[in-house]
Amino acid sequence: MKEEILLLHKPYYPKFHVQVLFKSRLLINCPLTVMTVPTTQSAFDRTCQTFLSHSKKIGDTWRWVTPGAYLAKTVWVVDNSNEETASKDEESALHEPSDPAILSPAKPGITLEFHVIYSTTYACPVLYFCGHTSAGTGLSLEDIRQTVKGHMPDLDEQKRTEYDMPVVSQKDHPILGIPFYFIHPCHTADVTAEMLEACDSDANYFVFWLSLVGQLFSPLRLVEVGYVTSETCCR
Amino acid sequence: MHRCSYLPLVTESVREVFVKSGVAFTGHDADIWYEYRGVPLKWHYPIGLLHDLLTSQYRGSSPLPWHIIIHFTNFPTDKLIRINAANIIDTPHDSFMSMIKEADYIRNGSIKKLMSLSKQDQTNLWQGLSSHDYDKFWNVNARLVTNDNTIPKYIPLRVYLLDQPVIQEPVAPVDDNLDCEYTLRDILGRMLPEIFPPSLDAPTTEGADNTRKSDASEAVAILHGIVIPIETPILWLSQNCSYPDNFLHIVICR
Repeated sequence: MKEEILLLHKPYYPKFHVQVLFKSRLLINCPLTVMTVPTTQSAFDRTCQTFLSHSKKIGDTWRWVTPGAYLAKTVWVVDNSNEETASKDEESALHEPSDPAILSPAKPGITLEFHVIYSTTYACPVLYFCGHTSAGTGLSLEDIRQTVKGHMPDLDEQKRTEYDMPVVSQKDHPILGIPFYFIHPCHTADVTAEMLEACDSDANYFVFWLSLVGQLFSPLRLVEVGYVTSETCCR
Repeated sequence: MHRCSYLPLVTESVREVFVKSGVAFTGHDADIWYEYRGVPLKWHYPIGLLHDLLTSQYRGSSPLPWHIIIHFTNFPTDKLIRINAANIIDTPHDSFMSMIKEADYIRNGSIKKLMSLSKQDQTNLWQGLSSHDYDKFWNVNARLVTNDNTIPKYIPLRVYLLDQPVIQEPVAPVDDNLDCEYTLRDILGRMLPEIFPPSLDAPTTEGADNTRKSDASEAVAILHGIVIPIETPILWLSQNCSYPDNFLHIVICR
């Protein structure tokens, strides 16, 4: 039976509170590792390698990129801005791997690139993303939102964090040096502390963080179901 | 243009000059961008940093005034951060405040100090910068950079070279015993050991090391258009020579 993680959260602004519930209390046979908040680049690297081994096991498509030492995932999304061309299968339309062998030229779509890069300033991971058409043209946030089914209403350039910074804005990608959208990390440390209080030492911090920040992209999913287990994981 | 300012802040007056002299421009100020020798200028970099980064390699052969090209179309969104068309000052303002907050976090491990400033003080920071009102700016900023005379945890510093990503990593101003102030040489020696090898006074073997020494002597650190003496303490530099966003933006020229 599949576990499902429900993240109930109040609106991201002004404060992001997290309660994690489990629909089922069955233990899935997946080895748990003790993970702590990565407070250094090398700790982040180790956390990512463990995450990647779980990712491969459940068929998720996160990969490790060097030089630069960061996680990346490419998601192909059917263009839903014109309803006539939208895929009838809503679930698979939201996130299919970018394997060219299964892309259909008849279905217009965009490519979303997600990168998780460690911030030495804030000592936490930061999520960067960008979107391109099949012709390689970069997309604005509004274009991306209009294309994805559901329009990702929480991914709003007008929203501000508790520290009066835009929740989502652009900056230079730390490795590639070109503009990427990113989710501001100024709030991550506070939320991390909350999560660590709520989870015991067997919890997969990194998956929780990625699920949290990934909620902004709902209904698009950054983390596949199947990572987290243990009924005692979170209170 | 002021070194300690940003390109979008001059766009309106520059556009007026061109339109008056006959350029038919009906677009939006957010579409305007600048370029030097084929390189689109990152508007979120201070103008002084852009100049140091792109002209230091031509030291001696590229005198002022700095000639840059203005474009009214084809904003290169693959290379430059988009500017909010509704108000072109909003995006540079957010970018600047984000840097100031990051600098505060780097120094103190939190942005409580900055958030404890009144709303008016925070506004005065930006307005002082954008209107070149030195006193208005420094009345607020002095509190941030002097840090009430406490030694910051780390120094807000970014190091730029033309051919690699920007380097930003934790830089402590003093050693753990608090009795040795790190100099620019110490910091750059750790970040870029191949460009700034250990002190020339250190005992080395002859022969092979002579080439390294001569390569090292050609690399310089440039800040605000001047070559910084490599033995300058980094804490003093941070408190006295930071840009308005509270960062030291140092260009390495080989």
